[in-house]
Amino acid sequence: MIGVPLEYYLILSGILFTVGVVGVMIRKNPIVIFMCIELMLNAVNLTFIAFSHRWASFDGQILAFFVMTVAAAEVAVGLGIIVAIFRQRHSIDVDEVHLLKG
Amino acid sequence: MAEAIGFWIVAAVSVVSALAVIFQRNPVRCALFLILNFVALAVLYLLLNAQLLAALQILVYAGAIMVLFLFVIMLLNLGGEQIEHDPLVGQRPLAMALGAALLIGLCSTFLRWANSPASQGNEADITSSLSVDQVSDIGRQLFVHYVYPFEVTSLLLLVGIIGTILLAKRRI
Repeated sequence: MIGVPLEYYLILSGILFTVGVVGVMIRKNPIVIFMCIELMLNAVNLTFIAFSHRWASFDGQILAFFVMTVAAAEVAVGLGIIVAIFRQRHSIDVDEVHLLKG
Repeated sequence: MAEAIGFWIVAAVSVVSALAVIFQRNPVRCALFLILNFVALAVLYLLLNAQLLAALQILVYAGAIMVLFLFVIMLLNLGGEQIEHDPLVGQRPLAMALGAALLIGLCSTFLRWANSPASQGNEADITSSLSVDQVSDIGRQLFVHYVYPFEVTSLLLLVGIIGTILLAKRRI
């Protein structure tokens, strides 16, 4: 077996994804929740690249490339939304933003 | 052998920094630990012979996205999180229990797949598979087979820019 077996990368990716999910559930600051979402996206990227290495094709790397691009666009818009909400309420707590009306 | 040692060290750094992201009070420290996690992932991509993606990970994630996060954190000037009561009773222990269940489910799926006949065979020969000049090979794939998602992604980025500028304006 050459190097590290594939399962180790997959299990590491599963651990990182679970840490991200638990972080989204237990944190109150929306910026930190956003960071945990990025952690989940990176765990999935690791899975894509591990499989790309296993089957020796570029498809996994290109999919990870697209995931990175979409994550960048999402972060820009999401942080813009958070700043807009903060400008109105002057406090950031996800539990307070539970009505659609501003 | 050296690859295995490198993998275990970098994987440990990655998991510890991810746990530090979700347990730190100060959001600036969370962002810094997340940057450390991204750099560890870039090293893992190098171990998996994905040089272009490792460089892109540092450039895009650690260099652009996390800098944006740090700008917004410092712009909003928040302090550490206050430890208040959870809206649901017992939310945190329930979150940890569900996370443990998710982890056990994921790991059992991965190990079952790894021991099944679907994963055997067709062992990739590292020397012949992913070439040295990865950038031009990935570029060729991107512009020949994946040209439609590529163009749609550029449209998505344009929409993201317009949306962000609209959100930032005080009077539309």
